[in-house]
Amino acid sequence: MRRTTTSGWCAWCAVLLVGATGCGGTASDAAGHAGGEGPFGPASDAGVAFNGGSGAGGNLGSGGSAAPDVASLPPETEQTVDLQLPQASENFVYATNPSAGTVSVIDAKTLQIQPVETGDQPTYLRTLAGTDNAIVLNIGSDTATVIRSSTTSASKAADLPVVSGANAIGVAPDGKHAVVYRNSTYASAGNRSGSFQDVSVLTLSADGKTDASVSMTVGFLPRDVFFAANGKRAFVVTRDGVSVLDFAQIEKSQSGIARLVAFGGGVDQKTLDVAVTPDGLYALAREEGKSVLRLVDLTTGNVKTLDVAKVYAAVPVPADDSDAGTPAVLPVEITDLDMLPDGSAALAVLRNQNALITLPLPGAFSDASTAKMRLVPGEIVGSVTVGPDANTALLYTTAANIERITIVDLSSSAAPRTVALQKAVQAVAFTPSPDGKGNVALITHTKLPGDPNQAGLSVDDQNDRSFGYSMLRLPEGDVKLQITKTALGPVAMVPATPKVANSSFLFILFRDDALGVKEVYRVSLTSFIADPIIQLESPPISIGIAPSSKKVFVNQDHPDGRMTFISWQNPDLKNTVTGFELNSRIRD
Amino acid sequence: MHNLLLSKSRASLFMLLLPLQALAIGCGNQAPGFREPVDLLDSPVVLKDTLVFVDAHGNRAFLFNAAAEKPAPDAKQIALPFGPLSAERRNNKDPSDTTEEALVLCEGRRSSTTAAAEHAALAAVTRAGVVRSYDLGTTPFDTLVQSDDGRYAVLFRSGKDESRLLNNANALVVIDLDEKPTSKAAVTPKTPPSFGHRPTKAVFSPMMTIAEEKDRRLLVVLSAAEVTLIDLNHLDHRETVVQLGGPDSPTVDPEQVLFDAAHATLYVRGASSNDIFAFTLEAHTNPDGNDFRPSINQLGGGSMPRDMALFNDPANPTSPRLLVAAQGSQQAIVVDPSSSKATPITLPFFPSHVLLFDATSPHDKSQAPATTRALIYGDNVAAVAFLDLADIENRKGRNLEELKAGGTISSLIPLLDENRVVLMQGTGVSLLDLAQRTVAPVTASTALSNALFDGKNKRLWVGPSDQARIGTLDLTSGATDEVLLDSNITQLVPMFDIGKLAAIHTSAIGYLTLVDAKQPSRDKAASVRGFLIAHVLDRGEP
Repeated sequence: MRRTTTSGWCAWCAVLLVGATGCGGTASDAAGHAGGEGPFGPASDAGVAFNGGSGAGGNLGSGGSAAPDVASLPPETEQTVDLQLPQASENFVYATNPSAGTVSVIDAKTLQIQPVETGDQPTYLRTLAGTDNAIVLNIGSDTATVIRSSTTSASKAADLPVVSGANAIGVAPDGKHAVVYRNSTYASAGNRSGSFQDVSVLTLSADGKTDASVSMTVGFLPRDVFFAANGKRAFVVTRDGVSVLDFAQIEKSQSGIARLVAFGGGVDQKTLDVAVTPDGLYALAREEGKSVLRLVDLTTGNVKTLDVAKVYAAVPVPADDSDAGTPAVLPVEITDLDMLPDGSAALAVLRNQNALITLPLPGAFSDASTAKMRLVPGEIVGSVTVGPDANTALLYTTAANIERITIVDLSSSAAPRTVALQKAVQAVAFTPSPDGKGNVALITHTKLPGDPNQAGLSVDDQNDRSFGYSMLRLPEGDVKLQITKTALGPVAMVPATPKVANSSFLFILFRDDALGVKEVYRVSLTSFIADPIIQLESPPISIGIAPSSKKVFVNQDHPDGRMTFISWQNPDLKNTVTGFELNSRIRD
Repeated sequence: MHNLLLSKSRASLFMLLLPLQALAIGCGNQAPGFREPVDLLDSPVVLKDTLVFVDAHGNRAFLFNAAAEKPAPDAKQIALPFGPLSAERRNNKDPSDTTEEALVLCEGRRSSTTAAAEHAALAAVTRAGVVRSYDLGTTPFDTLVQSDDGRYAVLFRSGKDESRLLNNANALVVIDLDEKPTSKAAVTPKTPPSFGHRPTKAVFSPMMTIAEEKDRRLLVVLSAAEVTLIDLNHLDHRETVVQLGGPDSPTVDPEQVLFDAAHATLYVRGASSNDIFAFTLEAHTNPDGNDFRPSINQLGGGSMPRDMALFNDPANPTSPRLLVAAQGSQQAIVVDPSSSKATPITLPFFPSHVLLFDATSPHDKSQAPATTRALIYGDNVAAVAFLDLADIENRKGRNLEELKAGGTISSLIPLLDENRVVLMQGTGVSLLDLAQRTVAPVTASTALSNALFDGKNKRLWVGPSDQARIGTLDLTSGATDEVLLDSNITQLVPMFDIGKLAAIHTSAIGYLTLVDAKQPSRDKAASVRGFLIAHVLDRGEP
């Protein structure tokens, strides 16, 4: 399931929306999702060095204008975010030095580097949104170090004990609590003995004097953590169901067993795809390949189900005079499910039926008639991405060589509008439009197999065999294709500077070690024009935003650590720090 | 040539006494130093008009005054601490300072059945023969490094010492030569934290403002993988040690340090690293240690950087640039330390050295002022490259000009006041005009060595070893000449302050020839022989 601010290759989504809200970092986000591991960089546990998706698109249906057989299409694709990469707070960028037992705190304005001693092997780090604080997991000492930085004084660090083998951190939106746990789905989980049901709840005080760590027992094998928007509770998704962590209760009663909310009998909770509404009242789950959705009330534990197939069947489909025969009856399967940012509704895509169903939450589970269906006849749509304002959604498929994308106005009953693209869609991310009206979407495209420089190819075939991306302005539908040397890497969006025209940009990383590509593109969100390429000295791994300095930082592949800071407004202004790990090797 | 030996009478007496001495040998009761062989250190030290010859075996120095037109074969002998190892002239901080001293490093000795132990010492010897000695303790140091102004000296041991059972390889001593030896502040022993490597080099910084305190100086000690910073203004503070080596590159072998005093930054280049390490010194609270801490950034120096220089581009006067000779990548790299941006410029040869100079160029418009440029050359390369540094990051290769040198260059003598450089090229030299960018070759019949530049007389002197000739090259007219001497030359020693050049010849009794530097000729030369034995008959007398 794709959440607008959460995992999925909406790594871009996360960064883009974070940029829009003014917070720094690569994976910290506004709605409080823990995030997962991802493919960016050689340090990634997912093992894929750097890509925006499957790259060559080998699973696509046949290209050209012939419509593929929708029933035979493979599943839609998704990606996630890596926690190990440098993170940024308001003024600082943090980079872990596991071998040295330190974290380098880099002032994004002055580039001064301060090593901060942590526990043994600091590895996983998260910043606390809106602050200059960060938490790092020390896997060698089973502790977490809370680092509090300041532009006026040296950083301070305090250690807290955490569950053994922890490799994931979730931070509440208000930054007052964090949940540290061992996510067994991460490759870094390893094969460690011990409990698979322990989490550590960290209480973070403003001045650090009353920081505390409390161990809690949750369901088996936690794999995700959500937070209520008000920061009062956390929800740990496990194989047994959702464990509810009430922070006030925990602070009062200390260690205990978290209340478990299951999704009811007859369902394999191991494979459920779960999301929690931002208000923390409900959890929505679906099983892959099935049409039934489950909504559980996290307060009462009541479970309601909704069979989307029945919702679809209840809606009369207009007859098509051009049909030559009886249309095939395809099974109703939800190929993608997305929740609106405010949690008021969920969008379910039924690829076999070319349909998008809007399900009010929780209302549709009590009264299915409140569900609203939109059909996109003649189009194969299997995925949906919702805009940050929840007024617009984009429908498309990543499973076929379809060079079109459909714009859906969620705020009205206007018919969906399909826009022609030049290449098939691999992934979509949204950014707010710089003028505050509407949205801009970044669409990465699939590359078909073959050499684009082969003699005799048409322009279309050349484009199909090339990497590239498109920018799409909504709701106007203006679209522009940019062919690139290699697949897109991580992306960061910087918000517009007030009263400065054309000041909102996307920064996109490109890396291909075989071709020697190590570049950054800056693309205007107003004109969609890409600046001259910014060359890097080392292959890029990740990108993030340092808001107060108005710079993006690009972490690069260098044995001693290398980071380049690029001014948002003037990319010619670059500063690089290299060897920041050396600063942890000073004895005085 | 005038041969100035011992006076006839004394010589006769000496010859007469020799057999008597032989008899006396068998009879014992000889005065100390009577027949001790002389073991002079390699080079005498010049103190204006005095040559100081240090006898390592005899723990003494001979002070020979060469001021007179016909100097007497006489040398004042003074005692030194035990075990002189090396001698050099103390640097003068003030050119008008007439106090001239030779610094003699003495290693001392451990006790034996016949002699008590003696501490290592650094002896400062004046022209008048006054010696003041700084006690260094029991550690026998073998390396002396002075600050440019001659105020400080640091001693450490760079080689193994097998004369002692145990040695602290990291011990060093800082001496404030402006202090009297008896002052507590004169000698400060230090043993910085070690990570398995001994000191290899030491460098003194210029005055810098660090942590808002002005006029501070640092002693930078290099070892195979570390850089140690010692605050000379606060020698009681603990040292700051930076480990540059890492798991992938355990030794960096730092060998060159440049200082940017305006930005309290130093740049370190290592023989085993492709990076230049920038140390920016920032204020830091540390009760027992230094009140500053380096923030380190690694700058790309191309492949195998072999030399570097710091310069200011007029286009960016407040932000200095590094010019790096990257031998491995056959490039000159211009590095902007503030952004780490590196601008490579491909060269026509593999570079080893960089020499900055201020001059005009033949391509300048008339009346153009001199600007900073670089001469880049490589070991055993038969060409040089001029690199104009103005706007170099934009113009890159357009600012480069190659010049064939007519022969491979083995070394170079800069004559920057003359805007010229002497290229030593095996059997010959070339005179390179930096402003005109021309090369004038001067051939020789044999390999040249001992080349000296005489700034006062605008002359170059060369003295091939084991030959009895001195060659001269007038830098103004280009004319060459020779002066024939009576004996093969071991070494040429410049005494240009008094208008002379001393040619040292091999001799157990002391033999040198003083040549007139202004009008070099055989007629005006004066040989002096026997000055080491001038008082041999007087030795041992009370």
